[in-house]
Amino acid sequence: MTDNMLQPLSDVVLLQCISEGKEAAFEEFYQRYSVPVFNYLVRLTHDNGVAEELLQDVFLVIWQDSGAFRGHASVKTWLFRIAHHRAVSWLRQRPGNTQSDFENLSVTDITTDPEGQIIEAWTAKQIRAALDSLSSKHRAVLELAFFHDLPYTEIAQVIQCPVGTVKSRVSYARRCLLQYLKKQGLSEL
Amino acid sequence: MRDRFRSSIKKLEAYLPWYVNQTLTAAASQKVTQGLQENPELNHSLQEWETVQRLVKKQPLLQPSPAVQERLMTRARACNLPQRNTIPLWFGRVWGMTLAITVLLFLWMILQPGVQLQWSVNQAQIAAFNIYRAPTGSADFALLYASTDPPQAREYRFVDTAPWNGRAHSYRIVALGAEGQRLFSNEVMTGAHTALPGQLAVILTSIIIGYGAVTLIENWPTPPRRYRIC
Repeated sequence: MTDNMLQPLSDVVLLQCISEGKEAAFEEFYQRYSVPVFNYLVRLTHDNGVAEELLQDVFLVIWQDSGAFRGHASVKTWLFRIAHHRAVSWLRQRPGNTQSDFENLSVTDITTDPEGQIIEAWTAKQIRAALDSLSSKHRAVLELAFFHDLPYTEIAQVIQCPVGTVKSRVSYARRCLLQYLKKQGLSEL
Repeated sequence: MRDRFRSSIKKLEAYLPWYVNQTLTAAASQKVTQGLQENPELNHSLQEWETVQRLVKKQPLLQPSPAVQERLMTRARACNLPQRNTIPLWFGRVWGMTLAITVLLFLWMILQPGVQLQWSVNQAQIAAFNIYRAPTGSADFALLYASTDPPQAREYRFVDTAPWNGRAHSYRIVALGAEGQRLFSNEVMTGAHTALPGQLAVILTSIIIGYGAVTLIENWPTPPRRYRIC
């Protein structure tokens, strides 16, 4: 089966192919989901290197255990649930606070005006700091709701909490985020 | 009235994040739209949620380095190739249930869990035994078992394997002569839970065996490897 033929396959069919040991399907699945999962992991762990390691672990679980997918949730939810589980395990086991690796990441800047670039960079840094100020459990629901656009029922499945907890966490995260930005004088964002 | 109004506003407010990310059902979304028109104070909350969404979306999209995929594929190849579980899920469950029922019937027949009655006779020429049963305290005995032409022995045994129903029973054993005349009879009373331990043990054993069969089939031919990383 070639990559071109795999392109239109649904996630469930891809998982089926992975469970049969087809590497092309696995690579296709990786191409489809590695970026969102990686971004989710980076934002929870605040460490690029760790996120890359965890990303490999998550996809190895998929490679080894794709047959365990029973279709009770969507493939995306199932994948994020594994990623969340691994990130939370890592956060619990890490020896202490690690230095954020965000500064080392290469981000393409689209502005050409130098003054605009400085303001843009400063604002982006403040927003990042505001989001980083949230605890991982509040950051997780915010990312899943607004970056990955998941409905609250699926977020509850990802983080394995009741729906009420998801709603209260997202509300708390909004309050903290806006308060932080207000303190930094960025309330007009 | 005011409390009810506040509570409905709070309910609508809780839906706002998902109204903003457009994942609400059509009905819920319409409800929120209507709520926003009727309660202008909700618009402030909506704007805040939109700001939060904008901030979160504004974050740069990071790419994992290409080396990650290479390392991943190397690790994947180093692991055992996943083997497909070719046996459908329903088959495993039907198989487990069938096995459990078969084992239950087999054990029930062999072990005969229930109320055991034993009696001995000194008198010969017994042509039949009739065994009657009634709930304790009642004289309403019903024929439970009739043995015609029992072997000529001194010791006799009968097991009432009826499933436990939580009631105590009295048993009456009547010996009949060759012409059907009553030679003697004896009555014995048993406790309400006499049959329970044996029957429970047989049922539990059958369930465990059935469940074991389902687990075996579901994981066939690979052992469970959930969340194991090599």
